Amino acid sequence: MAHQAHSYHMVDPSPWPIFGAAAALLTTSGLIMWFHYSSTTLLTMGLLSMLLVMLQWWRDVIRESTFQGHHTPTVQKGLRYGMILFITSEAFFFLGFFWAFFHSSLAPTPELGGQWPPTGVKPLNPLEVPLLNTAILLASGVTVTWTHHSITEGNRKQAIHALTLTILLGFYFTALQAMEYHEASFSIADSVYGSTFFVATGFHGLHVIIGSSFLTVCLLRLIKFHFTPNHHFGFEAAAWYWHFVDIIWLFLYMSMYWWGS
Amino acid sequence: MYYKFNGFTQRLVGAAASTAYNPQKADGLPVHLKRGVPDKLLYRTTMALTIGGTIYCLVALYMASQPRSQK
Repeated sequence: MAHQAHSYHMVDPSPWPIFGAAAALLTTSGLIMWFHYSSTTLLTMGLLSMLLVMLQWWRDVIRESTFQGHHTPTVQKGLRYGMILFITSEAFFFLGFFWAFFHSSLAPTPELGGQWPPTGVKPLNPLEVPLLNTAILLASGVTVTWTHHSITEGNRKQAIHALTLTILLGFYFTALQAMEYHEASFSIADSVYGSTFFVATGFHGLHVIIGSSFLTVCLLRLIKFHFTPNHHFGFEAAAWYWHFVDIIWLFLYMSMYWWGS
Repeated sequence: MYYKFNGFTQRLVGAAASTAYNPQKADGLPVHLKRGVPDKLLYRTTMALTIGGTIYCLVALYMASQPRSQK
């Protein structure tokens, strides 16, 4: 039987990267078909194949690590670099939208009435639901840290409780935000105010949903004994992502909700 | 099915052991097909969707690029 003389993981040949690329093609061209020809077939196929690829690719990573033991410390180091770089790229993504917001709000044009918020726009009160949402995300940051400590201390029951609480807080945020979107007196079409507000908070909301899903998968894995007190990188990656989502919200709250009102 | 672990090695013993899913079995199967039938079904569904979709996409883009056949 051949043994490797290095601590890296040479993965089995896998179809998911190319299928993932195809799914991206279907999703983007599906958007075009939806916008211009009112057809949702391609888009549905794209989103469905994207979901299938993600499920199977990450299922395989769990098989390779938890069930086959390929994730040596060297491999884990590489994964840590990867997750940090990915989160950094997401930070730059949001930076663009913050740039757009400040570009339009620091020097409001005559078309907006020379003021920010523009004439006729009634912004959301930052001291009502948005402040509650801030408290919710900050609390969820505490509970996810509690979860991590429980895992490293080998306290299974507390870890499950704390992680469940984190996920519930995430869902509460999403529900409140959806309600706010419904109740807002302005829409995305209401000048550059609506554009910057809904695109930035909208993408943030999408990231909350992604983060909540990641944490939910971690909860299932935690219940099924996948994590050990010393090796639980999947959970750490989810926790990093969740803290990132929290920090983005703090910047959104301070700039768009508070200063921008 | 009744599964029994050996107390020391923590490995399955008995009749169930040979048919049970063993992720570390050296059977030459790649990780994405390791469980056998359910993996194969999911893989084929994904492939049908992506490859079929790509062909449909190319046809749709070709049709969209024609100047006359727009509604």
